[in-house]
Amino acid sequence: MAPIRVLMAKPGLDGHDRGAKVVSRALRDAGMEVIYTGLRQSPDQIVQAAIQEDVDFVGLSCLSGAHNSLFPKVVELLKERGAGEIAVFGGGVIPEADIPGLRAAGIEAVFTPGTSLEEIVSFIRERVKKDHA
Amino acid sequence: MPSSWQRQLAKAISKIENMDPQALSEAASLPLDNSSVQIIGVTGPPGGGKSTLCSQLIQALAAEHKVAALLVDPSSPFSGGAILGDRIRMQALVSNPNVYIRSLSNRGNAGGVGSSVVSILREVMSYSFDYILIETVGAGQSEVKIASIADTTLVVSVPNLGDDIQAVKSGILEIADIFVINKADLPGVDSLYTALRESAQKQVDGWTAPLCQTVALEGLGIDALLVEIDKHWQWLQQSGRLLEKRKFAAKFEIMELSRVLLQKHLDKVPAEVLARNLNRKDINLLQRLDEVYAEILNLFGEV
Amino acid sequence: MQDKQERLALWQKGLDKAKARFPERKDKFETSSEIPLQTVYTALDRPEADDFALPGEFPFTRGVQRNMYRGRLWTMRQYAGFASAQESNERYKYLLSQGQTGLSVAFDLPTQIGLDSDHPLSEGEVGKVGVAIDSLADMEILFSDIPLDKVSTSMTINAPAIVLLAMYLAVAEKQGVDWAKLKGTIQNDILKEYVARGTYIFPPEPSLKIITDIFAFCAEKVPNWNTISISGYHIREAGATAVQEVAFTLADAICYVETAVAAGLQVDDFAPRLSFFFNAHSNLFEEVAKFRAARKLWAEIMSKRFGAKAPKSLLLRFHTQTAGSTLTAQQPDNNVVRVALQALSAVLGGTQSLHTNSRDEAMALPSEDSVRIALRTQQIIAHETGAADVVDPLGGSYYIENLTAQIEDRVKEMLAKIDELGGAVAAINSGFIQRQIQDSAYKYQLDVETKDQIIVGVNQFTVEDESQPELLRVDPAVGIEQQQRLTELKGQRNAQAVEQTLATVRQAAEKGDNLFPPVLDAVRAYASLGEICGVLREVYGEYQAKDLV
Repeated sequence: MAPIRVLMAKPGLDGHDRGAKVVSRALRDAGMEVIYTGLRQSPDQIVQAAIQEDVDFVGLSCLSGAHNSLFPKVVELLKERGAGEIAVFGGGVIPEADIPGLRAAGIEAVFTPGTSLEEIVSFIRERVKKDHA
Repeated sequence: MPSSWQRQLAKAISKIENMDPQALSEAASLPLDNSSVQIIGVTGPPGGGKSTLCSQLIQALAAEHKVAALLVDPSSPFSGGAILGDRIRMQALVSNPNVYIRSLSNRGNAGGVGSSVVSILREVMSYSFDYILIETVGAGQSEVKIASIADTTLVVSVPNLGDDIQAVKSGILEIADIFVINKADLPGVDSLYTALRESAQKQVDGWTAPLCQTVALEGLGIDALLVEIDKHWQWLQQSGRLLEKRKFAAKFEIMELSRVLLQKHLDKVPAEVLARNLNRKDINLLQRLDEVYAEILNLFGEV
Repeated sequence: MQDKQERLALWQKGLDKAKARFPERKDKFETSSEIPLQTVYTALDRPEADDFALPGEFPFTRGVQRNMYRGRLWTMRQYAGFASAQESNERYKYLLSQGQTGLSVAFDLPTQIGLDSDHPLSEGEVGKVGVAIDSLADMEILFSDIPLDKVSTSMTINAPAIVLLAMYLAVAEKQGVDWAKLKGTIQNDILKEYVARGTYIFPPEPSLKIITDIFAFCAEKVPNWNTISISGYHIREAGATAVQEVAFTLADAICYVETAVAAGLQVDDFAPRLSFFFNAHSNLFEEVAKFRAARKLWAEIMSKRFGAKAPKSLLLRFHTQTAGSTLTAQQPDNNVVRVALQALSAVLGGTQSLHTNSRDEAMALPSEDSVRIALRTQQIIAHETGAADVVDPLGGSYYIENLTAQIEDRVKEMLAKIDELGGAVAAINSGFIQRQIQDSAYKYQLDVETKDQIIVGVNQFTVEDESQPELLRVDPAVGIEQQQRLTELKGQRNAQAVEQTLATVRQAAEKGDNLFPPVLDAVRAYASLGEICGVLREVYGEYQAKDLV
């Protein structure tokens, strides 16, 4: 079976990348191919990279509170450029009250502090299964 | 809009990479003798600043040309997954409509590139790029495959990695069309230069590999390197070596694809046969394997 | 000795029997730094060297002063700032009225990266993790009605520290406060930004040059200002162990001292103004031992490696913050307890100042109520527990002394390794330090996954259906208002003065002169932070991340 490809990105200016890197490693150890794009990425850069890399998922991490403006932008741009089927998930310091809004904007899952790696891996696997079914 | 053709190309590459039979045969129908695109391989030990150098080359070339870059990183031997991080240094180029960047895992393949890389090249070439860069896994000594597929192979070294001499001894230097000493502002550059000089002069076939010095992080030496890359390109075309190189790449492609298909076959059929024999209660595997071995010979014959 | 060993051997036999009947909870017990732990520590485990160490004496393992908190308690300093300068100013005045003794300014990310609020990359970030400062005009509001000669102010600012400190000095001028009376700290620690925190701008070389400029300027003009706060905090937050935290921090510190000495500064002229910033994590005893070991190591490094003579050059004075990364979004009130214990370790370890995190920080910026509880936690430790009444109360404990020595040995080993790689900058450039931190972070997370590491409320003792408390929300309009103010300012200021002073900044940067005086002039002319940093970006270039995973 083809490996699942995931783009992990840090949108905005937040430099806390511990979570993004730990998740990247976990996905690698679950057999996935992870493209890590580093810090300070604009939604445009993230989306263009996702398209060039033909990823199945884009994972966004933000701890600065800028998620409400940055995450939906990524989903929007993906759709605009004909790559709407790439699934977007996110994580970081995100108040529960923001999650419904993010979900409505097309962020398929939001992982907050304390989420187990297992949970993220199985979200991705389940999502792929659903897609193939 | 660059995203639409880029998306199409990206999808095609994935299919080939995943050995989709139809995609492979479609790619195989594309020509490899297109002489309007130069394939540049970049290899060398880890820590040599290959990614930074590549990003500088791409940036310079993309000012007037269409450039594709394939960045290969190793897969994990345990999970088969991979973290492909070369892109980090190139994200500034991501929105440039002249540039397409793609990260690839070597999918467990020794030799710095994946098995389907030449088929991927055929596909990429069909998108009328002027240059295709391939950056290989920085594994050190086992990267000679890159020379089989690139028109122009750059071997990147840096002073004081502690392995100057080691590198000279290994086969990797013999594949160089151009030597690059990156981080040439570090101490130790002179001894590396001397060591490489010897190797460079040994080159035959009418091409003497030049020795370029760069400080990629600061963009120094890139222009001079581009001149050498172009000289090599002129020479390849005038001497007729270009088509030979491409033929070599095609042979490499056939061998790699056959190897992978055979491996798949082996994984499937004989594994079943062996499993059957290994499960026989009357064989003590610790004592004797002759019956199993006989079975293998039976299957494949002697080589 | 013989006698003690025999007794111990005998006791060990009894222990083995006991273990056979009551097996232990874990296969092995160890600290976060993987230091293996014995069942019990005795006089046999005490390192010989510190038979009769005393606080305030070399090598200062037991504290930098003789009477420590019996004289003056540590400075209670809560990191705060959000939204506009106006709102942050109000929060500061509130905190001071509640008995806080020092200010600690949090800047938003655009400010920390030297971008103005109207820069495209600032979108969504303005006023989020701290206060937005675009120019001296904002800084004037931030400190309005706060007499700068009466408070000490810590500013978490690194890459553009020179600009923000210049703004602070300009505010002092306007208040009529003599610079010699200013007390406080700028973080100004760029090296840890490359490995752990990510708010870098320029490459290491010019960054180190700016830092040295600040050392030189302040040694002469702002003598009581702490010119750098060399920070292990963020390294620990990024996943490092206690040993790695100390080792990488000291490696960075060595690099700063070497750079300043190479630039011609006398070590005793600037070393007394170096300060440190550590994390108070959850393993209580390891943390106490960590602080003690760090003090001893620094005193030895300064005296032996750099030949420092002034007594104050040898002192490792440090600020501590409790570990934000240990806070959980689940059952957030539990965080109050975590923070209390972590804060206790900092006090038992002899910190000079302390920030206690608020219970809701895993979800958002802290609310006013949460900040008050966090501050009260420090006050309870100070006034009710008696923890502050004896200097180094754990000194002499077999366990603590042994652990202190073990941490010291391991840090020395790591420092030797970094020296071998060519020092902190080389170790960062090769990705060595980043990889070490990431390996520890991943290992920790895997331990949590397997429940080798229990996190109460997260992977054990969980409850269903928690409701989240009321959180602080930064009004999204802040960004727009801030941009408007900047536009207004640009219309009102003397454009010619801005242009001229910026040109002088560029000249100084190109020639390698001390940047401080021209930056100060540009700030006084109301040049914006983004404009000043923009000039420096053009001259110095930007750092290319070495971001290995």
